[in-house]
Amino acid sequence: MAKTSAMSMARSTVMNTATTAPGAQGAMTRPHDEPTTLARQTEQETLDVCDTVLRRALDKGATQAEVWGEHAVSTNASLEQNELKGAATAEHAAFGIRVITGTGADARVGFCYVNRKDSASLNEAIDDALAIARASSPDEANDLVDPRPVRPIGGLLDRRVVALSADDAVGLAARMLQAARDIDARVSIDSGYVAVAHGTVALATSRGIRLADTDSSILWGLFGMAVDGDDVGSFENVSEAVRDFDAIDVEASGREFAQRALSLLKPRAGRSFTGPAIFSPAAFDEVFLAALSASVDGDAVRKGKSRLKDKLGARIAARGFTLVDDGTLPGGNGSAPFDREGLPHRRTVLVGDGVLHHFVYDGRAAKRAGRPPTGHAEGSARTLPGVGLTNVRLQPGTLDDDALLATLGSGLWIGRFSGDVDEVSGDFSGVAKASFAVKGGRRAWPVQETLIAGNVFDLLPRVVERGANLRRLVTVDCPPVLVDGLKVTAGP
Amino acid sequence: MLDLLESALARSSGPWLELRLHDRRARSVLVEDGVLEAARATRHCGVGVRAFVDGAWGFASTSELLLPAVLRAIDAATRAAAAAARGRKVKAAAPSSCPFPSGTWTSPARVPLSSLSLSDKIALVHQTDAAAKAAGAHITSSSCKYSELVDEKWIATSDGARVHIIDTKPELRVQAVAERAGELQSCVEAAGHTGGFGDLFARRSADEMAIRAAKTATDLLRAPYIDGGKQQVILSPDVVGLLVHEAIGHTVEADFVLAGSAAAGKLGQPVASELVTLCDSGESEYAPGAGGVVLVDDEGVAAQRVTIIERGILKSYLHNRETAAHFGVAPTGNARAFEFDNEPLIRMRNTYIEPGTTELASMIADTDDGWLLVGAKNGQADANAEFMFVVGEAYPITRGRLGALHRGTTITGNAFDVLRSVDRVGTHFAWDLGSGYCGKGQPAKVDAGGPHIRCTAVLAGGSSADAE
Repeated sequence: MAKTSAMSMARSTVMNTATTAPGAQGAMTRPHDEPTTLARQTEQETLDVCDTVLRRALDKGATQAEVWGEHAVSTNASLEQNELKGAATAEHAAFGIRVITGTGADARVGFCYVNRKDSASLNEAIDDALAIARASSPDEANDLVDPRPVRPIGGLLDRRVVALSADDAVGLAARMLQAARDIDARVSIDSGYVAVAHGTVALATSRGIRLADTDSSILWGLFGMAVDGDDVGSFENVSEAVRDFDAIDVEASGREFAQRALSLLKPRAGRSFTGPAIFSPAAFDEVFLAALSASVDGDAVRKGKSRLKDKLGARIAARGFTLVDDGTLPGGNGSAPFDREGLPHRRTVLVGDGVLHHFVYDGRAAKRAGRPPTGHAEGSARTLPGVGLTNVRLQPGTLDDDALLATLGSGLWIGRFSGDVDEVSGDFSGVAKASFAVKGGRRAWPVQETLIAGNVFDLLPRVVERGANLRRLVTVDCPPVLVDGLKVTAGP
Repeated sequence: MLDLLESALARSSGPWLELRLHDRRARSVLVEDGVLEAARATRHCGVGVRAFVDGAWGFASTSELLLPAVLRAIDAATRAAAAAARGRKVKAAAPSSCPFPSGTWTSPARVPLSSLSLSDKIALVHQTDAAAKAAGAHITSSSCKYSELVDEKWIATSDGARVHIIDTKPELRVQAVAERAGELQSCVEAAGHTGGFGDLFARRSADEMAIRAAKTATDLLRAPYIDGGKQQVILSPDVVGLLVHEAIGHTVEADFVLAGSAAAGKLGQPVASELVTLCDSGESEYAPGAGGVVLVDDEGVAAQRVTIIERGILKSYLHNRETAAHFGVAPTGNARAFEFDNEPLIRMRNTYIEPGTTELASMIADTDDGWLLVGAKNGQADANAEFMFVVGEAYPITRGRLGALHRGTTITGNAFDVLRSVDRVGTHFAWDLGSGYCGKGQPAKVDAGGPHIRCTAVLAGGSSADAE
C-alpha cells in the first residue's frame, strides 16, 4: 500500500470557493505553512484552465464533465554506485478530463489525459474523451458526485521544503551517502535519491465542485547492499517521506540503511517449519495490509472479488486488531482535504478489535452498491477515479521489539517479503528477504533461500501480538506483528 | 520535430547534450463482468534533456514543443549537472562515442493497431470478458483489459545522433475468478507484443486466452498445494523468461555490476551449464513480435544483440554509453527511458536462452521425480544472485508421467547455481513475458523467453492450513 510518490503526494492547503466549511481540522498556524502568493496564483491559473475545459466539454455535448488539473514542480538529486549521479528539475502541468454523455441508464463515460495546456491540445483531448464516451456502453452508475463541505488540513505544505534548490537536494543526498559510508566501507550504495516536490491540484465539475489545493513533500531513500569480498549481502533499502522540513533527517536514514545492510552478510540456511514468525512493519504491510486494503474496496466486494464480501460485522482477525484509515491526518503523507472526485476525506475504522466494520467507496462504486460515497476516490490527472485508501494505521500493541522476540522464542523474523499475494484469495508465497532465524528470543543469523507461504485471511485470526514500535511506511503506520501458523520452507 | 531539436542544439554550446522528444499516445479499455469500467486515451508528450557537465549528469524536461521552452530545459539540465558536479568526488566517465544510426526506424507490425476502430476494440474486450465469464459454472467474476502504447520519438545529441523512431506495443489481459464454498481462485492470461494485432494474437486468440483463464481458475479450486523443498523442475518458456530476466539479466546490468552485484568480476568465468547460451536483444530473435523490441535505444545507439552467457561462460554485461566508456567496450543499446520526463537507464529488452536439442516429451519422460512449472507471474532479483519468482501452475512428474494441476508456488535459488544445474534444454522457443512491465525506478516494456529447460531449485510449500 505504500504507493505514494513524490508527485502523487503533491496535495495540501485548500482553496474552495464553493464549499469550504469554517474551521480547519488540525490546522497549524506556523508562517511556513501558508501558501505563497505564487502558489495561490498557480491554484487560480490551474482552476481557470479546468473551468475553461469544463465549459468547452459541456458546449461540445457532454451532459456532465469533470476536469482535474495538476501543476507540479520537482527537484531531485540521485546517487549511483556510491557517488552522486546527477540532479534533475521539472515543472509540468497535466489535465484529466472525464465527460459523460446521456443521462440515467444511457449515461456513457469517456476520459482523456493530456500534459499540455495549449488550446489545441486541450480541445483535442475533449474531442477524444467525447469520442470514447460515444463508443462506450451505457451504465447509470456513470455519474458525478454532489459537492460536500471540505475543510483544510494542517501540516501539508511547508514553504521551507518548497524553497529547497537543486544544490540543497544534492547536499542532502551527499550527506545521506556519507552517513551510510561512514558506518562501514563495506556498505555499497547501488542507488539513492532525494526528491523534493510541491504541487497544485484543481478540480472543477459540472455539479458545482470547484476546489484547488497546494502542498509539498520531500522523499529520500537508499538501495544497495554490503559487500565483503565474495560475500555479497542481500539488497536492503530505506525510504522516507515527510512534509515537515524539521522532520528531514537523511543522515539517520543513511546510518539505518548501513546497519541493516551489514547485518545481512554471512547468511546461513534457515529451517523448515510451520509455526510462529514476526513480520516487520514492511513485511506485514506487503502481505497482510495489501490484501486487506484490496478486500475492503467496496467495488471489489460488489464484484465478488473480496474474501470479506459477506463478513461485515463478523470477526476476521484476532482481538485487538484495529485498522484505521484516516485521510484527514495533519501532515499525513496520504492526507488531502478532498479526494479525486472532490469529496472530503474522513477517518474510517476498517477493522475494530478484530471485527470488520466498513468497506470504502468512490462515487461510482457507491452508486452501484446503493451506499453513500466515503471520500475514498484516488487517482491523478492520468487516471479515472478509483477506490483507494489514504493513511492506514494498524493499532500498536505494548511489547517492545525485544519483548516481542522473547515472546516468539524460536522462529523467523521477516524483514521484507518478495513474492506474490493473491489479493482475491489471500494466498501468498514468496521469499523472506532481510530475514533472521530467531533462537532463544534473539535474532541469531540472517537466512537465505527461505520461503514463506500462507493465506492472509486464514492467518489474521492467528495474530498473537502486535509490537509497540510503530513504523511509518510513507502512508502506512504499522508495528511488527507476531503471527502463528506460517509455513516456512528453507533451502539447503 | 528533429528540426526543433537541431535548432536547440545549434543554439547551445558547452556541455554534452542529449535531446529526446517523445510523443506517447496510449489507449486502454477495461471491462469487468460485462460492464465497461474504463476507456481512456492519454497523450504524454515533451522533450527530455540530459546534460553532462564536469563529470556529472543533469536532467530537465518540458512539455512545450517550442524552441524557447527547449532552450530553458537545456539551461535547467546544465545547471542541475553543475550542481551535481559540485557534490561529486570522482568524475563519471563521459559518454562513449560510437557510430550512430540515422533516419527513421519503425518496429515491424502485422495488421496495424489503427486497423481497428475504438468501437471495435471495445467490442473485442467485451467479447473476451464474456467468453471468460461463460467458460465455467464456477466463474463468478471476469475482466479483460486491452491497452496500447503508440510511440514516436526523435533523438539528437551534440555528438551526432539523429534518429526518428516509431513503435507500437499492444497488450491484452484477461482474468477469471472462480468460487466454490467461499474459496476464491483466480487466473490471468495475458499477451503483450511489439507490433500490431497480427502479432498480439499470433499464438492464440483472445477467446482462447479467456477460456484457458477460466479453466485454470476453476481447476485451481480443487488443486492441492505442493510440498516444498529442493526439487528438479522443468520450466516452461514463460518461466524460463522470468528466470533469465530476474535471476541473470538484472545481475548483469552494468550499473548493478558497478555497485557490486554477484556478476561483478565474473567475465570469462563459467557461471552456467555448457548447455546455456543466454542473450539480450533489441530485435525479436527466433519468433516475431517480442514485447521488448528496441531498434535504437534512448541514447541514439543501435540496439545490439548481446550474448551474455555463451555455452556457460559469462561474456558480457549490458551497457549504456557511460558504463561502456567505464569498461572500455562498445555501448550495447540498453539505455531506455519510459517517457520523455524519465532519464535513460540500463534496461533489458528481449532476454532469452537459445533453444537446444531435447523435446519436451522426452524431457518429461526422463524425469523421475519433479515438477513442470507453468504461468510466470512476478519475480525479483537480489544483489547476491538469489532470485525469486512466482508461478501460477505446478504439475507433478512421477516416473516420467505428468500429473494433475497443483496450486502455484514461489521458486527461489541462487541464479548461477540454478543455471549450473541445467541438464536439458528444449527445442521449442517462445516469447511469453511481454505483458506488464519491468520496474527499476521507472517501468519498461520488456520480453523474455526461451525453450523449456530442466534444472534444480527450491520451491515453497503449501499453505499453513493445508499443512496442518
